[in-house]
Amino acid sequence: MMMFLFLLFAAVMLLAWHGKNKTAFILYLITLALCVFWFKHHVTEKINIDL
Amino acid sequence: MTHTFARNLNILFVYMICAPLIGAYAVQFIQGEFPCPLCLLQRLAMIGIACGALANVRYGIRPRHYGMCIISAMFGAAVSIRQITLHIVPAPGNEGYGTPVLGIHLYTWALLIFGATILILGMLFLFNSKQFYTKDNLKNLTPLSVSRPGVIAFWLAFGITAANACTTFLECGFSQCPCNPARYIMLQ
Repeated sequence: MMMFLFLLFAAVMLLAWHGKNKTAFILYLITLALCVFWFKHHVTEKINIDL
Repeated sequence: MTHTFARNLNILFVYMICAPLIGAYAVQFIQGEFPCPLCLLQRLAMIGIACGALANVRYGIRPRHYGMCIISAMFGAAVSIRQITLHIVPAPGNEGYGTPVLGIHLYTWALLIFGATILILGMLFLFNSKQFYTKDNLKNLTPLSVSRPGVIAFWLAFGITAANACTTFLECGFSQCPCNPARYIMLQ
């Protein structure tokens, strides 16, 4: 699934480069929100700092 | 700082942010290591920074584009800190993820890069006298002509992003990436 996040960022770059700045910005925000969701999805185990 | 100089700095910035992504690929393919999900998220954050810098190159310097860089760097720093704290107490069998480069693990390097990004952008804001467009020009979203180094920077960043999409697909397929990947799932 993480492949799609890279593809979305590739789309952001292409859109921005070809004159669709507003669309690219909205897609960037969506992609970043998905990244944050994915990060939160992975932060489930407690960090063990048992000394 | 003039507008043209700031745009050229952003081109340089794209090259600088592409360098660790190429380095990560070198570690992945030369040393045969597999990026974990947190490593991939750090790469995504670096690509997000490159998106903001490329927008500055293409449309001129705007606060929104710098905002994209800063937010991406903050996200990447959060991911890096998470991974550093996962391995903060070295123990037998938990000496950190992957082989250190110059004595430092890649996720620690990533945190340094994200911190440096925020620092550099803060310094760029200190010298904002002429780099931003005027209020009238801020409404104009016409793409500007880009020099050859700028075009190369775009295709380099785009190529790295597309290549990462391909290798992540080979590593994880359509399912969730394993926490400790040891093989390319799609090549089995």
